[in-house]
Amino acid sequence: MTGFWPTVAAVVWKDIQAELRTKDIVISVLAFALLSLIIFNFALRPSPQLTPVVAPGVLWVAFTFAGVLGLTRTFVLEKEQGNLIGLLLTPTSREALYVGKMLGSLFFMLVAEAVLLPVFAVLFNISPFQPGLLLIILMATLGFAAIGTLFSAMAVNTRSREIVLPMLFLPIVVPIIIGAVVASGTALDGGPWSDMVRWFQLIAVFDVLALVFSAFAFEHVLQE
Amino acid sequence: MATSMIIKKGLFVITGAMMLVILYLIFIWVPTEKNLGVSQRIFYFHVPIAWVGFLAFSFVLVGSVGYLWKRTSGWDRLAYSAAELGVLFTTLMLITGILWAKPVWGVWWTWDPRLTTSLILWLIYVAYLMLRAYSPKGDQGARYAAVLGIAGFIDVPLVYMSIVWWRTVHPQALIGPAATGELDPSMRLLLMISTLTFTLLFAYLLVDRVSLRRNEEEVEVLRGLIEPLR
Amino acid sequence: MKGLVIRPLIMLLVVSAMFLSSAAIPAMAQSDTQDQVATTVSDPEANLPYLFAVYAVTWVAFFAYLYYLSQRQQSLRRELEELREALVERDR
Repeated sequence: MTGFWPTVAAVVWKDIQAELRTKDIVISVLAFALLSLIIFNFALRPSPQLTPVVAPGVLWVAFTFAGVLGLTRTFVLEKEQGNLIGLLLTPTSREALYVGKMLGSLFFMLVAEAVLLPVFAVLFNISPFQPGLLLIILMATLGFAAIGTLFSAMAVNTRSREIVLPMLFLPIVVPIIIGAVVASGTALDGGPWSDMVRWFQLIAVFDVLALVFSAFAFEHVLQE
Repeated sequence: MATSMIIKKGLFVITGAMMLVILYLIFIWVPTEKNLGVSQRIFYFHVPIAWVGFLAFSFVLVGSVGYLWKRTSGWDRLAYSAAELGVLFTTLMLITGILWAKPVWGVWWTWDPRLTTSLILWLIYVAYLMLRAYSPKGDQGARYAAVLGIAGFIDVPLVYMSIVWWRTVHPQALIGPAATGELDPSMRLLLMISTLTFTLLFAYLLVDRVSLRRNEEEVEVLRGLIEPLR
Repeated sequence: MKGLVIRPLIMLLVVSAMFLSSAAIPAMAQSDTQDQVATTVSDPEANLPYLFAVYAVTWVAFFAYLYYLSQRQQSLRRELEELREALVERDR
């Protein structure tokens, strides 16, 4: 009977190895987010005064839709290779499986976001390396990964999973997006922490709820 | 079997009668609100419809929890039917809200917390129906939907409390636990009667939809038996 | 056959709504909607068309749904009959 954390580590390591081979998730997330940033620039054509106003929103739309793209792939490999049955047969707890997949998704999304942020800084003439902004990105992405992993496990077994995942995911994470956009705006403007605190609280509460709920609900989703 | 038919027919008649009653009350009996004029009477549609939508989604929650716990199809039938009705009522809530907004605020829509969370609510349960449509039939689809039915319900209190917690252009609550204002007695009475009417309508539609769902399930089972042989 | 048309249409509608919602997020980040409100109406009868529209939409919606339910009930009953007969045939 393998323990909780060894199982989690094994799942994460397996996913990282698979990703290193195909680079499937990171490339598609990056490409899509990059294209989004560029398209938004043409769509909005912000003047120098307008740029700081729209920048946080643009960044988070790019992160969100790219995140959805990455999350769609979370269980695709398992489904195609039939590994899911194998994973279920091992005496691991479903929660460990969930945490492992979630951390894997989180890692990939953070990697993509880390590459994206300098590009964003260049295209929008903004310095993104504020501690507040980095913390927001971490917390919001955690929320995405938490609920996204659960919905991805559902979506992978439906027809049109590329449509089902965004349909399930996007309405539910709106509170995260709203909080992230407002807090990012304050952070990029160099605003005080006190202005951002309640958005951090909102995202933190959401993250906790999402993690707890998803960990418990995962078991119901995984049965065949 | 016969008793459910009697209940259904009874509900149908009572609901129909009450709809006629509120027709009279809304258009003729209740006084016109002094600030907003005639269009304020939309209030007696919009608010009860919204409440019944929330009620429907709480039935979805109950059905979802019940299904994950007991795994009997009766709970799932309840959840699905209530979700379909909830989307119907919430769609009407949005449309009536939009039609009320234009004359009063001058705009069809605004991204105010109440409206935004309501739109999200609608999207969540439309996603529920889509998930159902695209999932495998039977237990798996029911389980997925149940998880969503539980997760999505968190938006209902959000919608309700949004006018308390955040600054909003939506009118403050005049009645109920979050009320800050006062309502004229005849208006309060009419609102209650209207709410009762729409709740009865919901009850009737729910009973009907659940029995339809039972037929749908039976057809699926029989198809499952026949198809492999063709 | 109808299902093949309706589902993509619904999908399209919903995805459009989601895109519209997401486009509003940059706007929501800094807008304050208090200033868009006008609350008093000069002529009480002026907005009667809106009240009528609400009433019409509500009734049409419920009638359409009731109609949909009864149609589905009928077609399901027919299908159940056919399936049951096919099952009896098979067992012979």
